Amino acid sequence: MNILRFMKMTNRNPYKTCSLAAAMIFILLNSSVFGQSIYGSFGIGELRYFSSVRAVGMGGAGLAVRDPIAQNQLNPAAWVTVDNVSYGCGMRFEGIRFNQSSRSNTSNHAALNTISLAVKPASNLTISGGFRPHTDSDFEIYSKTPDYTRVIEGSGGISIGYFGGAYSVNDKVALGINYLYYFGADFESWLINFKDDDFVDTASNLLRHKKGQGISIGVTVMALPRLHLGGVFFSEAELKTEKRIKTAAQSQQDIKGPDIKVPYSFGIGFSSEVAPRITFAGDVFRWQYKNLAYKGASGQNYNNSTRYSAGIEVSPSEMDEAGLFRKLSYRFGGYFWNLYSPDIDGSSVTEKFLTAGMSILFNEKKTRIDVGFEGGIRASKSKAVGSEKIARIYIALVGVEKWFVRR
Amino acid sequence: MKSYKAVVVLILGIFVFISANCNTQPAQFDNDEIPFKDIINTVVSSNAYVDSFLVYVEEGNRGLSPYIFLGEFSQQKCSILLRFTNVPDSVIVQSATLTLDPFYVYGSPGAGFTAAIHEIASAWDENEIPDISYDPVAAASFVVDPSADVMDSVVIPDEIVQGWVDARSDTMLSNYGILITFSAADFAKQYLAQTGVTLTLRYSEGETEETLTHRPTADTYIVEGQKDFYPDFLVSNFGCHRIIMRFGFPAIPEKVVINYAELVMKLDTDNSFIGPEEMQGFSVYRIDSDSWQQDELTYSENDAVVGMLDFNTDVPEARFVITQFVQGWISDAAENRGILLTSLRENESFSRYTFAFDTADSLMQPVLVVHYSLFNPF
Repeated sequence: MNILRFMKMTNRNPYKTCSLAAAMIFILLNSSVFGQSIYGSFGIGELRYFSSVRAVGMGGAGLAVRDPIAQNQLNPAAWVTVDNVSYGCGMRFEGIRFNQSSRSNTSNHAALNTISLAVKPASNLTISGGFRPHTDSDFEIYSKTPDYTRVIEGSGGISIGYFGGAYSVNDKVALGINYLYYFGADFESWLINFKDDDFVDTASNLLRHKKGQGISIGVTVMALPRLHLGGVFFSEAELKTEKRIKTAAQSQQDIKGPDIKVPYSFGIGFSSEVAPRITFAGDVFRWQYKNLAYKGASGQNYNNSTRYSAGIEVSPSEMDEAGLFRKLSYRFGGYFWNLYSPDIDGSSVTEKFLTAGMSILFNEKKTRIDVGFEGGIRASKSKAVGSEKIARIYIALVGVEKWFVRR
Repeated sequence: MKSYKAVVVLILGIFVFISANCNTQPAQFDNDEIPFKDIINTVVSSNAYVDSFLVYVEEGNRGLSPYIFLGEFSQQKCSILLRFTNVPDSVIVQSATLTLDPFYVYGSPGAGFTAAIHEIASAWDENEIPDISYDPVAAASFVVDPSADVMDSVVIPDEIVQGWVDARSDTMLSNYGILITFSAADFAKQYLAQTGVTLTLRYSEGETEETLTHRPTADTYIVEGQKDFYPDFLVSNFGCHRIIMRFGFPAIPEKVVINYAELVMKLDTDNSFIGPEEMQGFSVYRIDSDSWQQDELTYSENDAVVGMLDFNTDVPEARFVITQFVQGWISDAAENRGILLTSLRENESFSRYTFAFDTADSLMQPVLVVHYSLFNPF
């Protein structure tokens, strides 16, 4: 309904515009293959850090950003500013160009990123639920030996479904708590193709279902009139796994897998409106993944991971009569991330990204299309491992509605 | 709203560009050194050895052999049976000469030996092991030349051949052929069974005389001697010795994928005798029966695996790729009933292939080299 209103408001042919959007989504989805980052093959996969598409434009910094329209996916305490009912859904498109010596590979990935709904039944209480990605495990790896070529393909990941509430203690302090349900599966195909035709090639498949529970608690504090602080803590989670194995010599077999201990993580952030319509934000988030453990199984070493992000948001004008470009919000930022994947010298593989974003408000400023861009490099010190140039686009439709108000 | 359209086109353009740059060369590493992945699918090599075996003798169907033998070698006495039912009808036999074209001579003969022709008195079938009776009085005799380059010939008495002619028109008469045997010989001579045996027949029909040659319509040979003379782990063409063996797989887990399984049989050349055949090889069959008793033994002939003797290695050896056999045994241990090893040239020569088994040299023992894949995800 809001889209149609927007079309009418802008004198656009809604059917033509919808067709264009549908064509765009079709092309994007059709071009999607696995993201295929070799880093996705490590541990429980490639970690995703996502607060909101608005935050994406500011380097991902959003722990202290309280948004009246879009929900904060990381810090439940930030929900207190939601106006009545807030909804949102978004997609993520990712392109990875992998470079290794003289070899390169480009892959695209499109995925539903988030769905969320928040309801404010009382002035100081907000409840919300939704889901967001926690890890992705999409990869394809070749390994050559004198006797055979190994091909490993993987897909899947872990998502988090959440349900929780935020309570506004007073005008300055808000608390939030979330029940987290970790769920997902990763599929791995292992092929061994022998050079000698007399050898029988091997194809083995593994499907690992994972599920577990945890909680997160968050806080936002208005430290100064123009300065908000935010913090969040994610508890340790125990993921139960069930693996389904199929090889040429054995039919499908379901076995209990080893439990995975996902260590706790936490982050702090700030946001400051340094001038009207200009906001600075910054986050530091820490995953204690040195203690990540596949109980009694994998012998991999993990590093603790820290992500530093900062960005700025500029909204030139809030006037209705302003031109389109002046009514948009613009964001710029960047982040530096020490991943939990160890490099050849034991330090972490790093990500360095620049980000940008913008928002289009419509429907009497109750609905927003947020777009975020991320572009950067994930690189190992080892030339044999190589580097990845990554571009991501996040698109989300977020809005607020009056659902429970007597008219 | 042109700007709105421009943004959409820009986003679309970026992804079309990325898609257009796709290729198919993902990350690649050498020697399974993948930095971010536990290898849960490994290829393992393991050797398996014989845990039980049996050697038995199969008489076989000598009638199908392309060769016939006359004489004695390795304490095996061979006599030839021939039958000609293709002689002309209603003719008068003037003379008949049997010529035998040799292929090889076994032994180190100093001089020839005397062979005798006997008329067979009972029916026989070349597809079975003949048990015949014959006239003990020799109808003719000849000296078998010790050279493989010299053909042997003997004149068959006219009355015997005339009997074969008359038997064609008189069903009361029989044509059982002739037996060529001997009393003592210090070598054995191998002849080509079909193309090497010629009966040259001169006969008259009315006023005309003609000479025609005939090949035998049935040929085989019989063997006398101690059948299981060699107690070794051997396969022989003449006898014929066959090996049954079963391998144990204590080191290989159940339900793994067998990538490759090769049986290596190293020849004990000191205790073997290699005949003149150019290609010498063996067949391996999967045994289907639980019993190894000779009269109860069954095996699948459809999936036989052939391996040829390779003399270009340090120790001559035969190799057999029996991956499918081993996969079946590993998937279901009850299927492991053993394999049967036979010569490809049974009844075709005196070759005898001895394989080292009960020896301290483990490298000489028959070994089954198995490569298998373990898939052990945590």
